[in-house]
Amino acid sequence: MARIACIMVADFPIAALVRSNPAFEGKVLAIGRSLAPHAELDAVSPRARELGIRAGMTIAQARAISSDLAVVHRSSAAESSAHSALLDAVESVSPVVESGAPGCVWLDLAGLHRIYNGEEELTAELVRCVRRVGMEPAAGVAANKEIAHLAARCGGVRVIEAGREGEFLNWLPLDMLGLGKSDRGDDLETTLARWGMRRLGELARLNPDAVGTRLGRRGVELVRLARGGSHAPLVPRRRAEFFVETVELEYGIENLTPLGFVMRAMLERLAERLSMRALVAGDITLAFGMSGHRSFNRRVAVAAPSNDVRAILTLINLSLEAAPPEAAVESIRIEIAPRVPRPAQTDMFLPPSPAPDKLQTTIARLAALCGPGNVGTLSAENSHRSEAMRLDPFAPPAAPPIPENAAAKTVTQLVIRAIRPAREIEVMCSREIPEFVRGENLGARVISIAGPWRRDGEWWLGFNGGDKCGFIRDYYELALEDGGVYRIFRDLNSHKWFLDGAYD
Amino acid sequence: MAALPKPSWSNPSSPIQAVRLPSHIPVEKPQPLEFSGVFRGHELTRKDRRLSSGLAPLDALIDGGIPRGRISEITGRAGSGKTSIAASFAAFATRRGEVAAWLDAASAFDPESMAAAGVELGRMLWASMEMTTAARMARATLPYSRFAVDPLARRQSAIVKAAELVLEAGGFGLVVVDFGEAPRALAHASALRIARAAERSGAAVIAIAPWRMCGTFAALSLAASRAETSFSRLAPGSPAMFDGLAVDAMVARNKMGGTGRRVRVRALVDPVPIPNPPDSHPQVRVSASS
Repeated sequence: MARIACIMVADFPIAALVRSNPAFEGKVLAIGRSLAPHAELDAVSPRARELGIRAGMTIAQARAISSDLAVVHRSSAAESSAHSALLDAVESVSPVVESGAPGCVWLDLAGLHRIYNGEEELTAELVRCVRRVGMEPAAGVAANKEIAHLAARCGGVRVIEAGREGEFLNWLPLDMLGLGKSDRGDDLETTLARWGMRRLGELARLNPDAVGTRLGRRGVELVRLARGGSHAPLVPRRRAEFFVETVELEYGIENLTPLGFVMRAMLERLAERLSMRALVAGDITLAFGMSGHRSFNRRVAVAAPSNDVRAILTLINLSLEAAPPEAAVESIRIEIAPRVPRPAQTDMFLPPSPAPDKLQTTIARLAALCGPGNVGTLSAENSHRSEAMRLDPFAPPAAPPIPENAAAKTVTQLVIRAIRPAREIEVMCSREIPEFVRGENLGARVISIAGPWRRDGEWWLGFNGGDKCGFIRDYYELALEDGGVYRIFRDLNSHKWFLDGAYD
Repeated sequence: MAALPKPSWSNPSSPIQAVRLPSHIPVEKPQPLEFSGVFRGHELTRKDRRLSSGLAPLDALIDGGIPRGRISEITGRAGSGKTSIAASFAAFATRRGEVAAWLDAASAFDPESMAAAGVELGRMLWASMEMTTAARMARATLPYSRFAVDPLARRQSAIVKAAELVLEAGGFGLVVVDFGEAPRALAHASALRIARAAERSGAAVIAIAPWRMCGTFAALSLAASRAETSFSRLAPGSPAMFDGLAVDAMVARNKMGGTGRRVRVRALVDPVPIPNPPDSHPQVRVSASS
């Protein structure tokens, strides 16, 4: 016997708006077809409903009840993001999920009894997951999609045990169904009330042909539903390859600081969705809608995938500061390519190393602090140029370490402190031998000298636009009167002197 | 999606009652582990856990190495050999499989000579603060910025922040903080933050600077000074070659005792001597003392 769960979010357009803008939480809020006083309300918040405001009232009527009423436009972007978040929340529990109308999803519970101790625990976990993405759900569990949907429509969490579907359907009041209109345009709820029908079970006892004659196709469907005879299969959706959050702003944002505040909330929601699916954020694509129907797209590379919102936001800020949008931003779309966290197995016999997830987060935050090109593993390039270096992503090898030499040394290697780029200096020579060096924070007589040692390379690259490629340098090691020992070179192409490093 | 009715737990007509979930199912979010024992009189790190340099005279001077979970300073002016001493600790740590970090305020890390010193570069996370200034300068120069922040101060606050980030990640055996050749005095609060993070992570922290930076929060302070600069010739009249430095390392401060002791260490460009051919002239040494 199949078991299907249906998760629904009541007043979904309102719930989506509150999710995208938490300032609306607990407010007297309504969605209007327009903002004119005679426009009708499409949906109202629970607080507004408590005060007596109903969908279908005009804005003027509703304002007469509560002057605190805030009327906003419906946001398809917020609803789309909220529905995606709902799907992510549910997919963190079951891999087989069908997307229904906005704010409604079904999932197959087959096999989940091995993980959860009973369906009540399972539904509690579903509710917890949906609350994590900022919405309050209702849940129903039953043998098929329709009955699970009806159970969810009753509000709260309702588990219809196998074999008790008929009992539930017999009890179900018809006014909970939102029946709508028949094929002829009559109001079904009114018609059935006139017939004396109050519950779905009473409808099940009617002849479907007779109901079809009077109410059309919708009536036949209702009878079939009342008899529990519907077995529409669950159609699983394809898993999303990208995680998207979209926000439409009521006014344009011209500065990066307030833009950062809006994006932080969006990134927090995305990070929550990613973490529920055990994924981390990879590369980010920003798409801004700007005033004058212009658009702005930017791809932000994330070297170390992470769910650390602060680090991701700093990377985005760095990218936007380098080349900001040219006009006020009116809508923001953030798309994240998910990555699977790097698994690692630690070794009991090796020294501890950073946990992969923490290391990724740390590198991302360091990259945000120092710039993406300033964090990683630095190594010397295979080149004749002394300054040639290569920066690779930091990934400490898992191979066993080099065996330690037991014999302690008495002499160590002298290390040079590089000066990048090489600083131009002035060198006074006597018979081609440096005697005095002067430059930025430097000025001393030479007391000992080694060299010159010639380095000549890249001449094989030929000519580039008339200029000869390659370099030819004479290197010297100088002990100066100020106590330092420096490495300098003379570029024989430009005949200039440069300070390359200091031995320390 | 229309409003749903309230769940009818108490509706006696309903044959199947709604499941009574707790009114507030807690939303569990992962919380970072907090160590609260640092300032309650506990020692999270043992003083006898040390990181050796692999240099016998130096290790003998500081009782086997620098303490883990503490800040150790290596100070000295340019050319004193402080970076070479720090590199020997990094080489020892990385060669035994530990992961290390080198936080570089002046972008002075030279991978070629570090690799020659025995540092396993694949196990060394390098982060340079050099570009931090440029990247953050836009914010500092905004019209509403009342206080101009100079690049040096920004770089220094960035390196403190970077050290905290690395230490918070945990798992690093050694973190070298290279403050550059002209740093400003570190605020007590900054030094305290690094010291606390080091104690929590258990990593050995080496601060390289021309002068003492961490004050009372450093467990060990080694003052390096150049004793001798060695140049040599293979034969009279042949070109001189730079051999290296003789470095005097003195314990300027040690919470575990031994302050004032000193040792001389040789730091050579090529620590493996080239044997002279039997018929060649002996090397002629030229020394320049500081």
